Amino acid sequence: MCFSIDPAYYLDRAIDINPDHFSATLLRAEILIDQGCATAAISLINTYLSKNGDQPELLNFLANHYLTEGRIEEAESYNNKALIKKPRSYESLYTGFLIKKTQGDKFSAIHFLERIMRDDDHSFDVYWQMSQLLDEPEELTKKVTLLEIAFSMNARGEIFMQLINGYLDLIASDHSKQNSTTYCVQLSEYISNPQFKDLPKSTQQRAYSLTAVLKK
Amino acid sequence: MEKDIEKLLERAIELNPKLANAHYKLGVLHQSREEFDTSISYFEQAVHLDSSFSEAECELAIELKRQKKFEEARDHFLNALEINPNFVKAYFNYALLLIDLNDIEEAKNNFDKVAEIDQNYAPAYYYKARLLTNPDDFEEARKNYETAIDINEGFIEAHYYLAKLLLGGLATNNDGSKVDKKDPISSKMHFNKALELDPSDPKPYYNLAKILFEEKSLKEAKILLSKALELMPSYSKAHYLCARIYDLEDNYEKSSFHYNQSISCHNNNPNALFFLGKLQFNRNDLEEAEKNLRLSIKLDSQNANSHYYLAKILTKDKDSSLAKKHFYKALEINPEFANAYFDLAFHSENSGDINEAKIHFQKATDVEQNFAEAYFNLARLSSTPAEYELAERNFETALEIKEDFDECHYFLGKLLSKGQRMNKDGTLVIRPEIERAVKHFREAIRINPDSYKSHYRLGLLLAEQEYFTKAFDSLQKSIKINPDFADAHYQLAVLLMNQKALKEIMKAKKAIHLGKAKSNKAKN
Repeated sequence: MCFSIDPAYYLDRAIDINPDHFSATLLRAEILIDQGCATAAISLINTYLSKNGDQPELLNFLANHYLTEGRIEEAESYNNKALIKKPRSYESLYTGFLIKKTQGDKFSAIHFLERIMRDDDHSFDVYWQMSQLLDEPEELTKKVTLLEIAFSMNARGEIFMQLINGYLDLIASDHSKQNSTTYCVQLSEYISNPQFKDLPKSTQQRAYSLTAVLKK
Repeated sequence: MEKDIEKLLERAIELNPKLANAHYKLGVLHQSREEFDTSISYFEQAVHLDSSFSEAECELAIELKRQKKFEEARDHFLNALEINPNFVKAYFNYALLLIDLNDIEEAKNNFDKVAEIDQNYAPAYYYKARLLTNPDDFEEARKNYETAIDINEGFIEAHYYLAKLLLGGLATNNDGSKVDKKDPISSKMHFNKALELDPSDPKPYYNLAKILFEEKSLKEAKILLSKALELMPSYSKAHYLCARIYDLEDNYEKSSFHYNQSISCHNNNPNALFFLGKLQFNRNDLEEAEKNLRLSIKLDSQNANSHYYLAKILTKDKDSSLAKKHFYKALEINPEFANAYFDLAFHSENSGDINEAKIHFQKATDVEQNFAEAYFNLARLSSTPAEYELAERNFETALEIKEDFDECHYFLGKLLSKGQRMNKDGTLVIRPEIERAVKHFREAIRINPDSYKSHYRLGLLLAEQEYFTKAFDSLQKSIKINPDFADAHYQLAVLLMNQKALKEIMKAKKAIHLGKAKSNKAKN
């Protein structure tokens, strides 16, 4: 039996047979992008859209592609179209966040992430990304809360380190010492986490000394 | 000689005008010449001259009956019987008059009277038997025909009608319940006897053909029908039966010809119109079929089958209510019409009324407990998670009835592989039964190896179970059977984009290739 093992071969056949095959079109376009054939991918998507009308998933694909290429205006335009068609689409909202983040529009980027959270509060990525956007001192408490949630979903070392640093910053900035005890209790729990030993020595030292002071 | 007698009788009357017997004899002479009007006047004169002349009274009554002067005839028969209470001919003809007057019970009594006086008067037994048409009287009718034949073996009509009685066989038991006393062997014997006595009568040929048709001896039946039609080319029933045989033999041209002949020989022919319509329906000549089915219904509005086929044609109409009307009419006439429920269900489904469709499929299974297709379609439409168990049960029932139902295996496989069901508390649970689903897809493929959809679904499940090479082969089979199946091409691409799958598939294919190469080398 003669057969091919090239996915592109089968996708081309699927599209030849049924030019309206949505999944095949999307996957073929993704492969073309990976192969560096962006023009062919866009042409394929546009052919599909001209025949079948606006499909939010494909519009989002184009938005993502233009975002990668740094063509923000076009990315934003396709993202808007996608969101008009499907306002609660996780993928389109996330692309919207990425566009705004690229533009440096922190407020709008957070707003997109909050829209995702309203429908889906189980996405690690959303909590993580939002925590990364919060860099003002007055946003530190919220940032730590978001890192706590993200860490409960994905116990990555990078998150753990940011979380410990967050608590250390919170204790340092708590001049009135109103909340320091609470922070110290939580920090003590993280000190017993095996990942704590992987943190830089300076961070470990700082954590030990702060919790020791507060214990006294 | 006859002229001489006539002259002598006329001379006798000239000499003695009051000679009643001479008037009577002249009446009989004219009667034999079929000069009925003249004969009546002589008989009238005879009874006028002799008020106790029973023979003259009887002959006068017979002639008046012939002239359809029934009441006058009755009076003269009664006169004859008053004069001679044992006058067989008067009783017999009076009984025949009573049939004309639709006084059947009295006619039967008079035939009995004839048989009482003359036990060997065969026509009395025959005519009485003809009057015994009620299923309760089956045995009595049979006995009377048989007595008539015992007395006169050459009694053609008695043989013919006894054969017809035995062919129908509609009788009742002592408790009044219906019983089939059909006796095709004796019936055939009597039809053959009738033919032996009169080979020019087409009817026994037709009736014998009817028996052979029911016995599925179509070839022999056709021979007899061709004889019947040779003797009587306008014999509508023979054309009809001939058409039915050609219909069963799928000879459209000939069956259509004979149905049309049957209809042209006898316009009021709803059965021929129905079967012609059905034949045209099966040939997709819907316009003609509709016309003939409507005509059939016009002549016999109680034929459930005509309404059913007309409904099937009307399902193609934009107005879905037209077909529904006739499906419902068919079901009103025959509430046990499982196929009507079944097709009505499809019609409801196509009209977008799924709930109604389900009700009708359910009804079809209520009427016909072994209707596998109805169970299958009922299950197919029970597609919500809340109906999961119902669908599963109905698919399984269909498969219990019809093990080799490939489509049913396929759909049950699909249901099990999705596994979307509802908990008692109303929450959705997804619990696929992959092993069972695989089993059903494999079974569907065993029954129908060309079921590309089963190969496709099996491929998806095998991929999910990480049997990548088997999944690849299954999807390849699917596109080999149907190269235009886009979904299978797409899923092959998805499978090959999985690096683990690709590695395994390439390894397996390489091994096969090497194995082949080795075996070729060994052969050489």
